[in-house]
Amino acid sequence: MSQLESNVASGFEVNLDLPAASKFERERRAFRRLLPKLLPTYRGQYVAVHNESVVDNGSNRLEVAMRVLHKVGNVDIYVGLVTDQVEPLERSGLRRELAAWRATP
Amino acid sequence: MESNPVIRYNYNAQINPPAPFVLVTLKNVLTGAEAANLPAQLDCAADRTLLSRVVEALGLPTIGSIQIGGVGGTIAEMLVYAVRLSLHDLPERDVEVVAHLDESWILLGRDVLNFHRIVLDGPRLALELQ
Repeated sequence: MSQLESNVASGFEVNLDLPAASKFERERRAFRRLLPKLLPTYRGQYVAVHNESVVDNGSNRLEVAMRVLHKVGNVDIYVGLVTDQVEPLERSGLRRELAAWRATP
Repeated sequence: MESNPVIRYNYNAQINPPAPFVLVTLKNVLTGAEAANLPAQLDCAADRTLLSRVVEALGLPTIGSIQIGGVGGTIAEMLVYAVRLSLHDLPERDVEVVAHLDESWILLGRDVLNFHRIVLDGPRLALELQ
């Protein structure tokens, strides 16, 4: 068997030099990972994820977030709604005629 | 509310058509960092207030993400921040906001506007705020 054939058989590895995930991204991924287990207990509630663990819960995202932030300090956390439904969209309201809004002399 | 003084602003004529703007103060409640007298456009079509690059200057913590729908049904996922905000010198409150670093100024959505009595006088290009 040639060298190429032996490599194909074992499979080439391609490694990407990806940047490390931010704390916020790690917490968001942890939330999504934990979500199936959270549904039975926390469905419809917001849970806060810090250091990849659930640290608080409640009915209002901002209240939960502020409670956690006052305990852990000024760091990124993830407060997500425990649901298996699609969350409703919010509107940005951005309707700007770009050619018109630029400052005129 | 009727006993509170009425604050009047002229519309900003630097953009076209002239638009209602007020000055707001933002605070990071955890660090005490503050940014005062920032221009903010009243945007009653917006469900949620949108900040600019000031989120970085204040070191605001990210607390989540939501999906925002724009013109024609475009959808973007945006990060949510916690901030303490006050219009002019009116009482401050903690709000959840989204941000885009490329936005030139703050857009005040109904999440903030609905706490105030605001009269938009288009012909006079002025607004009243209480």
